Amino acid sequence: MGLLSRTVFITGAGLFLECCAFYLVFGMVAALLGLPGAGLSLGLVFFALCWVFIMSLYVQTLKFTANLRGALGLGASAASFVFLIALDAGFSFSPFAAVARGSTLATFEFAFSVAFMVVLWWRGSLLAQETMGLDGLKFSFQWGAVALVVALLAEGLTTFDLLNGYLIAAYFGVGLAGLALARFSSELGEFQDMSLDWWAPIAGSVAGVLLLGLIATAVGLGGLDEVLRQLLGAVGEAGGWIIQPVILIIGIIAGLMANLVNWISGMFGGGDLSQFDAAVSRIEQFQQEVRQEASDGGPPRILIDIMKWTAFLGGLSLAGWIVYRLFRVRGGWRTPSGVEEVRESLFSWGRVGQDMSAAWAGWWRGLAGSRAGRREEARQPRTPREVYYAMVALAGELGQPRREWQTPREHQWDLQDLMPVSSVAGIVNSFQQACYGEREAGEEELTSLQGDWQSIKQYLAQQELEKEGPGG
Amino acid sequence: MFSEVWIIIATLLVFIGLVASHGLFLILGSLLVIITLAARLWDRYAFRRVEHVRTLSRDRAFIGDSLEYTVTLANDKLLPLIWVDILDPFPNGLELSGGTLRGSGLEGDRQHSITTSLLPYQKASWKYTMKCTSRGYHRIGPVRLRSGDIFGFSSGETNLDGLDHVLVYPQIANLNDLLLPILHPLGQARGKRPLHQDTTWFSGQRDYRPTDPMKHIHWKGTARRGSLQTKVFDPVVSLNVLIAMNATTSQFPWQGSNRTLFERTVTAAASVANFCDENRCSYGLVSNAVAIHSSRWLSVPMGASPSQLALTLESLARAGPYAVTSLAEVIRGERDSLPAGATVVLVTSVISQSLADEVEEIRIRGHRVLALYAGDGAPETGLPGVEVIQLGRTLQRQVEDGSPV
Repeated sequence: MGLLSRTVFITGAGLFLECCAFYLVFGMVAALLGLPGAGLSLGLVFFALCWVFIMSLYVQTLKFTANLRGALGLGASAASFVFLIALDAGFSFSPFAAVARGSTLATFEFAFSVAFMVVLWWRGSLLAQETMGLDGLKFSFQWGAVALVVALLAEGLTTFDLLNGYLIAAYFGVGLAGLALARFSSELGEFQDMSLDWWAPIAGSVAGVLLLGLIATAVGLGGLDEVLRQLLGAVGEAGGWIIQPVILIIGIIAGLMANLVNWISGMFGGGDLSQFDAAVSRIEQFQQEVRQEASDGGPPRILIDIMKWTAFLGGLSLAGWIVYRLFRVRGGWRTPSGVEEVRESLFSWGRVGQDMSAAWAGWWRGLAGSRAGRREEARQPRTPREVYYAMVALAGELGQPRREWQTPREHQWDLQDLMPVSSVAGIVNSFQQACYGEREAGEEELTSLQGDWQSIKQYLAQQELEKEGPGG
Repeated sequence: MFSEVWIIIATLLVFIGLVASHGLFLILGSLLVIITLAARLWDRYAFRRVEHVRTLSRDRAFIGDSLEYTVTLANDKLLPLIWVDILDPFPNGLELSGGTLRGSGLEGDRQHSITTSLLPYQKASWKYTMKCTSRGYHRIGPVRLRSGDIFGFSSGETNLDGLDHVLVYPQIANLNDLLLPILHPLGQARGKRPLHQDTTWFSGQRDYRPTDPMKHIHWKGTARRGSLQTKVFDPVVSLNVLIAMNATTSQFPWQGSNRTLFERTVTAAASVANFCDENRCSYGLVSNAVAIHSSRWLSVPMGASPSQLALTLESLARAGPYAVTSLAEVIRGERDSLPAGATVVLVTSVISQSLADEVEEIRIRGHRVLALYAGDGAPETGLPGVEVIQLGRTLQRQVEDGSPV
């Protein structure tokens, strides 16, 4: 996936998120002012935003003076306003005619529609000035989420109807896919193609989030018992679908055997084959009964349920076994660039069992000590100064305190045998820059700083474990 | 991205949805809760039980050699790593065929980056062919791992301390070709004056003289001849050579360092070491060049052991193009410990007046000095009484042609 297609998709996702947010905000403002005609439709907002975005991109590339470019943009915008407002009214100039007639309501609605358009114009041209990346898309997503929450709360308190499940699903579907793509795109250079293989985890993750959201909603709306009942019903249905072909195959085999025996006995002058025919007809009858569920005179319901569940569990086990075997296969291949890639599994049931029990134990411990944990978290150092002084305190505990005459850099040398060198260097660098560089640490730097701090803590914990030994 | 406030809002929406049986509240609230929790889950647990290993088929090589380089990343836990970036600082002197090498933001620094995903309990390995393109002590690492949730809401990173290195030896030129018509630049190999005798080189016997040591009496010969006989040994001289390499490539410090001249000087020094080794000389190396990742100048004590060449080449491989002091200073420190009769081979691309003075001092002390000039053209300052061999252009041609041994 090349740079152009990535940029187009990410920009499209960003415009869609902005469009949803503006549509909701305009709708709420129009409803609150009692001017229902002023609100713009979702389609028109999206169209207008794309229009202004593309137009601004084009105008920016014109090799004229800045003033001339501004005049051109202004003229094109005015013409676009007229066109879009006419489009909003169904390709008619009725809004202009109503204003000309002097209708107060129509004039207000017209004025607000134009104001909304101006806002869209401002935002669209602003978006066109920079390439949409992960940060831009995150901002759009967050601001759209705020608009969604506010609109939902407003909808709950008033009577207007702006939101629906499809809009929310589309917002999250497009937004999350765009964010995931922007995340991968931000790691690639201008000339690097993104592997199409990444679409599988992206699609899987987005679908997973939406599915989980829908299940949670279903559980919330229908109650756990209803959902469970439907789930069990679905399991029974699936078991029925699994068992039917099995019974069909048994019936076909029995029929074939009866035909074979008939043919052989016919060669020797015939014989009594009524028992075979009866067996075949009984299998066919049973198959019908399974399909039609319990009926009078048929096998008991419990037997059919047991068979269905057995079939379902058997099918599930078989599918699980196939997935497990596929997962355990050691796969190796050579990429087009000549790199040999090998993937293998470290999976073992024992390991999973240990991990699960450790996770449960940790969870219980966490519940018990959650208050203490919160206090501990509150004590976690965050800024470069806090992290540095926490590291110095830790060094003191390890017998290497910072002497009064030592600079941070000199003390750093003393720590090289005690803590990971690169992590200590990162913390000292950040501290020096914060102290003497008079520069605020950015988000990325703070993340890196936390990474360094965690590395030191993990390293010391590991050292502690090694000291205790296997018996410890 | 989603702070505590968002979790509270999302929970509130879910609560309202449950109480009012309102689907939109529930779906919006639950979606917000899911993505917030997913971000936190990966933020907290992504790097637990993740192991990164580099494997090199060997850690010493010559320029042009290809090595097998394998990177392995294992995720030994239930939580998959939906994306993970492996960012490994990679030296300039090595090339990875098929690998993605990008600038790290710092001048001259590159990173080998791999972006991948790992299933639960999965291990992935990437095998590359690594080509050694320049001399040096090339260090790979420490690696930085970045990971988070797939949507980019959270992104954490961790640094792992493991380092690997490859030592690429300098090129060795054929000095026999370069030094013609001078056949024996390092002095006579066979001694004429019987000052020192090697007791393992037995050449005959003669009548005993009172000044002969008792331990040299040939008892069997005495028994045969009926008179005291003394063993006679071949006279030998030891060929001691001190290679003095000048890391300075310009007359004045403000002119900086010329990398091409420096590499040429290193090649010349390595070639002299190889020449000495082939001729079974005892040799050592001193230089004002700093060993990379160290603050000391290069120094290999004199020796003639089989490992002497490897030691010298390793030392030269580590040489960085920075001089801590002048070569004259370094030689001044060494001259008192030079064995009598040792030859000093000066390898330099620039001759300063202070160096010329120091060479003169060594010469006065009775040492033979040979200068191999690796610079372009003729040296700016002459060395009276010292044979100066200009290697610059020939050496450059040999290196460019790839003809060195």
